[in-house]
Amino acid sequence: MSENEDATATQWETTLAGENSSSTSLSDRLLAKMTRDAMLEIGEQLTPSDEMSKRAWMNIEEKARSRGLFNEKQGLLRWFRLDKFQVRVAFAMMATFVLFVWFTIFQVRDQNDIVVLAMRGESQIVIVSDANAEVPELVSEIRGLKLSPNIEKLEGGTLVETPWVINEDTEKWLKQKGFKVSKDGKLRLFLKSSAPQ
Amino acid sequence: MTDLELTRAIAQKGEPAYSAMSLLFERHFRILCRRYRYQFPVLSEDEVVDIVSNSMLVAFEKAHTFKGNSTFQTWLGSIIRNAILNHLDATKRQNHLSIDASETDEQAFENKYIIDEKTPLTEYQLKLLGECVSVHFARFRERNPEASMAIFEHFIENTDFKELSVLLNRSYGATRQFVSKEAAKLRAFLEPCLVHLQL
Repeated sequence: MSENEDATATQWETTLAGENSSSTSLSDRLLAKMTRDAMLEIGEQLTPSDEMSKRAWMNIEEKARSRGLFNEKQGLLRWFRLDKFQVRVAFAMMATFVLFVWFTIFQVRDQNDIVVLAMRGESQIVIVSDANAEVPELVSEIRGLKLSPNIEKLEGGTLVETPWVINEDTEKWLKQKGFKVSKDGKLRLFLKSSAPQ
Repeated sequence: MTDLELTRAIAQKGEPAYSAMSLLFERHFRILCRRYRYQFPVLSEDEVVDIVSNSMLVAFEKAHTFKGNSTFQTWLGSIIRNAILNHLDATKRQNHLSIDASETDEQAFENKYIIDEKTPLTEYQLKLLGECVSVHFARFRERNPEASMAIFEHFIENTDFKELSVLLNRSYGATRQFVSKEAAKLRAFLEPCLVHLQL
């Protein structure tokens, strides 16, 4: 027996002999050994054979395979080492974030100060304060127009997005006027059909 | 690899999952079958093997939930134990064996082992002592399966009291007391063997 087994055997002898025994007699030791042997023998009998273990493993393997436990994770699941539940949670969070940003932009846009820069005919050309549509020709036109000395804040309007890209000069000019120029360089314009008052 | 590392590999799926499952099966299957056959002698070998196999499959599916706060055997053991209790409920059985009528005659049973008082202890007597102890221990196990499992696990398999307390669903202190008390009971069960062999 190994050292560890010796220690356990001694512990068993003492336990079987009783708590009040300070030492074990020959009969105690004999009894403990025989009981230990009996327990081991029963343990052997109760342990499944190699054949039975092999059959049990084949059974487990077949069921695990049919339940997809050995399948490689696909796509996101593979790259990010996420399980299905985690992917669903991640998508739900992303969708919530996108919706939040979308509504926030609309809210911000709706509340943006719209400044009358110039008037032209019956249309008022207004530029949103964080306008991000670049219209160099239009801006040039605006430059050429008579600017209202009092910049008034208006709300509402029809949003028109222009395809022009802001160049450096225009950006500088817009910034001088106190407008923020966005990174994608598009200028949004609100056109109001009502005649100026 | 530790059991925790193996369960993480199973949670990742793919080819490493297969190797990890196989390794966990090798490490624990037979020990668990033996343990629960010790504790539930009313169940046949096939029943225990089926229950332990299905429980291992459940554990593999839930591998991502194993955090390593307890040992893998303890964690899986709780799944197995619940499955066994449900199975016993479903089959309307209790965990005890009926004692063979022929063994109710205590005197006849003990007389088998009476040796002449004057004969010194021989190899033959040691053999008889061994047989007597085996039979008495088997009877003790029939009547006290949980106790015999606890004694086997602690004194033969070196399962510590902390893990044993989880297996027995008792507190640490209550488990120590239980094992000590049952060992004394076992001693009393084995006494007739000593008396008749005049040691």
